[in-house]
Amino acid sequence: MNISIKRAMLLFVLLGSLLLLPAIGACGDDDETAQEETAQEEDQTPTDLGKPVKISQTFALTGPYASQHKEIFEAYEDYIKFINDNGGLKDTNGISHPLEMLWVDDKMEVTTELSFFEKAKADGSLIHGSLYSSAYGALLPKAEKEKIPLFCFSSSNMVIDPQRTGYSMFPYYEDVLGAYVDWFLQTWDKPSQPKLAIIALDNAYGKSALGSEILDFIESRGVDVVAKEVVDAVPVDTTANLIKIQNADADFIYAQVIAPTAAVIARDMQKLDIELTIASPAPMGPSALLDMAPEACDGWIGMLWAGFYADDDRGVKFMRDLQTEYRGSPMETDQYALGIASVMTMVEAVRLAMEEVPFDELSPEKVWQFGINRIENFDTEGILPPINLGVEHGYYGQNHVRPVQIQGTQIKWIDDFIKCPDTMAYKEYYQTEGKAIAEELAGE
Amino acid sequence: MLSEMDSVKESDIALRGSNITLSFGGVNALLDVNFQIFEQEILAIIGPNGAGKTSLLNCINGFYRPDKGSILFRGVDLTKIPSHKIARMGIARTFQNIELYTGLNTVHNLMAARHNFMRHGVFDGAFYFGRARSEIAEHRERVEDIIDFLDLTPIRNVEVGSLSYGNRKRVELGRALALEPQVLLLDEPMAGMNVEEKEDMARFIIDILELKKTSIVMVEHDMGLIMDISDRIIVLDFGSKIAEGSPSEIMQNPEVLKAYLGTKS
Amino acid sequence: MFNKPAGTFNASYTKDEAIVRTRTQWGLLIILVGILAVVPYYGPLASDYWINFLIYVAITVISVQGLNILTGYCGQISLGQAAFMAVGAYTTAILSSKAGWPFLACLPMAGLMATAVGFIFAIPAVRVKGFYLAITTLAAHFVIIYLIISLEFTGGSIGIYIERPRIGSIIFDSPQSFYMLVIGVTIVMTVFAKNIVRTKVGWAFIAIRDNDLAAKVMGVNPFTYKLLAFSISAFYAGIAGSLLVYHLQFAHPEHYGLTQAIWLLGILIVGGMGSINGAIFGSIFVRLIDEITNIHISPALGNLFPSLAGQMSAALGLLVFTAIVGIFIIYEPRGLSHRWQLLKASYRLWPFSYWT
Ligand SMILES: Nc1ncnc2c1ncn2[C@@H]1O[C@H](COP(=O)(O)OP(=O)(O)O)[C@@H](O)[C@H]1O
Ligand SMILES: [Mg+2]
Repeated sequence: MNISIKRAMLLFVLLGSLLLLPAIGACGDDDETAQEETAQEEDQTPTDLGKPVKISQTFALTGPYASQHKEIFEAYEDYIKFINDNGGLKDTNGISHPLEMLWVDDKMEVTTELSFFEKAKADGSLIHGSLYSSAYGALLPKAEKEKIPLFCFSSSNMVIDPQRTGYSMFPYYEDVLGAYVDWFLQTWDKPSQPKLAIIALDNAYGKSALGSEILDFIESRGVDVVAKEVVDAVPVDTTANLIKIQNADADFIYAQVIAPTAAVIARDMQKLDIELTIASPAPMGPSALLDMAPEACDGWIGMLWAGFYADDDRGVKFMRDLQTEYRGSPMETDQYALGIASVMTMVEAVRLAMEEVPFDELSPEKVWQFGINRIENFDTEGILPPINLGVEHGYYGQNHVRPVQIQGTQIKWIDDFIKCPDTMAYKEYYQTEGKAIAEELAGE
Repeated sequence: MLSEMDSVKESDIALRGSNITLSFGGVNALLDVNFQIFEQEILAIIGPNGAGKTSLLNCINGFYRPDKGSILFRGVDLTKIPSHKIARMGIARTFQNIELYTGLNTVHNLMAARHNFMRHGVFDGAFYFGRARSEIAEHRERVEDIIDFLDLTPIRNVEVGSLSYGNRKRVELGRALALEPQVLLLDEPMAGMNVEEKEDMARFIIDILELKKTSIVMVEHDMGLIMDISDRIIVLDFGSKIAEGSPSEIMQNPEVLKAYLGTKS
Repeated sequence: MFNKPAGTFNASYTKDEAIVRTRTQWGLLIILVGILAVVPYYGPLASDYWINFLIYVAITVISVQGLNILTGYCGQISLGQAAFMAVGAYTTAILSSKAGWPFLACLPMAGLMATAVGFIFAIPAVRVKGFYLAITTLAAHFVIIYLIISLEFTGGSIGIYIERPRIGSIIFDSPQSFYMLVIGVTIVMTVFAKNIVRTKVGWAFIAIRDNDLAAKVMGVNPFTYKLLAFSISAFYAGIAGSLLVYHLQFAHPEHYGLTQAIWLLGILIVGGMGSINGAIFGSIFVRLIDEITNIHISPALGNLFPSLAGQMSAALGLLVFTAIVGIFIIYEPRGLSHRWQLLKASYRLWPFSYWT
């Protein structure tokens, strides 16, 4: 055998095992929940009253997003059990149907995502969800063509442009940054012009904080953007970036990153003794950050749209009950909250459609037409502000954020929901052109 | 033969090496070696192991760059040009430790060696049309001639990696011939062969000389055979040329007897 | 080498060099093409799901054929194949969405652009061997992906949407029609690959792979030919990338990760390096296994053992892939194509299978 080929193979094995490490790393945590779950299941008597109603969702359970997506996955599982334990979904004849989730681990590979989308379609899924924009982008043209409602966790601007049958219920990343700037300005009492530094993750999510429209918006608020630092998802060291920010004399920082990135930044800030107000949007996940950098992250602000951070919250109580019921004990996470809000809205769309359309005639298109388009002021048990979707309601989902802060070993809400400013000029799109397209699609 | 002539005409010289010196970290593989290869002769290079025979061939076809000296072939100094260009000028060789394209069969090993004569490139090739097709047919015929000539017919479609040692040596000779060389360098072409195979090989070498009008340089250890087929002999010892002449001259050279043959007798 | 079908003697050398020699072989070939044409309309695979799968396999075949020429035939390892696919994809996405170029202009342009980029990165790469070469191509991957994310006209990390391909007034909108288009291109590219490796350039590649020393002595300039191998391989990647982006209708840098490059290498190992059939067998086999474990087995296991969902069952796809490649490296390093050869040989000589 040829030497170069042997080398190729050896290299392959090395690289292959490197790839496997994170996958194996993701295994093996909570084993205790296993027994409790099986115990739970034995209690239940199957209530098979009708054919199942199917929804589908992809997760990236392998790769850098694994820990976040696992929590979202569990939220979906729990909520579906909850629905089924409470009699499933009723069709127009009053017959109950159990809810079933089709899912896949897409390993962050777009082709797996697409393949699963086709399979879910063939298996009769009524509504489809994907978690991040690179996959969503490949599904949207297909979903639009067949009028399949498509949900996405990512709310970067590509979700609304072009928007036809794709939705995100979460505020657009740009608007969240806008809200943070406005929120910070409320307490700004110095005469000088405030200076903002942005740290952006090196991908679609991160870079959306550096788009020209949001930068224009920030400038229009009288804030100077003095530093724009781009970092890796799991950077080795961010001191160089932070020193630049320090030298630029920034007053506050916005870090559009995920928890592993934030952990490194937090430690480096502590090392360099930088004490500036710093905030991140929801995908960062304050609870994960607290796990990763317990001391260093003190004071970090999260501009969230859902979370577990107040005992008297209706949404928090609902989620704790769910978790106690299906997982034995509550686990304080924000990604779980996002998952619940998402699956609730998807199920609500199906439920609304089932009120109007006889069971045999249900289709993704019908769910879009009679479900999504009728979601108005939908209450997710208080987890999110009321949600509006569809043509009549401007597609918007909801557009609020609520700041939390890591204080010592705890995470606390520090303000109420704030309505985000409209930072993206082209959002007019869905009031005019987008609406026209949607009406045309619906009218056929 | 040529060596017996009193004066040597410049036009009879195919290749001339002057003052070739090559050292590897203190070891002199070649030391101030001068030699000529005449047109259409069989020149044998002999000498004990490590004498520098292979190194000399490596200098001729550009694997090694001598520290000093020049090798002139058709007016060009070979020490200045890369191996593949030397090959294109018409110098082919075989190796002491057979170096074939193990993944190809006999025919295609030889076809690969027709590389220099084929003009078609990747585009004609991709379509397998026009020039590519006609050239391959044409060169296939030349290759088949060589296959006939070297009696390779029974193994023509066998992947060479699985051939016997003797057959591989023969295929390697065929591949060198496919290059239509003017100078053919053979590094121990009969090593490890039995008497019968050696005789076949010797016959091929003589035939090549006669039919293809090629100059042949052959490194070999079998003295009997060398005496039979070579026109001239160069003797190397510790990198230096210690003798040169016809087989009978070499046989009587006391220094050779001492340095090389002496060890045997 | 293996025997020709028993009783086949060739009247001319041209015939001897031909790929398809007997009438039976022609017949089988026509049947195969016929099956490929009918598959999306009749039978068990006539669904959007399977057509989508077949399209992806076909695109994989093209990319692996390119990698095969470089790694399998010329012996140069490359981890840059996914990035060169990205170059093809983005060339297509930009030309088609911003300049309105049609399919027949975008496709070759994607190939040429990838070739050009591949050529540039090959200049340093062909000077080094083995692990150093792997690292050089790895660097090419990261540089290309970095540029795509950072540049303005590539849509950065937002991505670019593109329309379905069209030729003249025909729009390849349905999965079936797009499948036909992709299969057509795949057949053409496979035939090209086969022809390249059985003519002068291919022999030079094999010469360099098997023995670069001897190749030089036989007049092959390794430098030129390695450059050529890189360029051809990048061309194939460019074509594959172009088709992939038409398939996804969306270009995004995250679609062309290093993982993809490693999958392509793995497919090549499983299929058999240095074999045109191998690239096809490998693509079908590995993609099918991957599909079954990911889409079918892994969620089912997850539902069966809820505590495992998102853990072992999620890693299953990768585990199975690595295991398969490992098994092939140990037990059949020449890949599926070698098995196929053995099978054919035993069939051909039947009932006289004493020949070895
Ligand atoms: N590439 C090399 N590196 C170091 N030493 C070498 C190399 N090639 C040859 N030599 C040395 O040069 C001398 C001549 O070797 P060689 O030409 O192979 O001898 P021969 O072919 O006469 O047996 C030996 O001492 C050998 O060790
Ligand atoms: Mg030697």
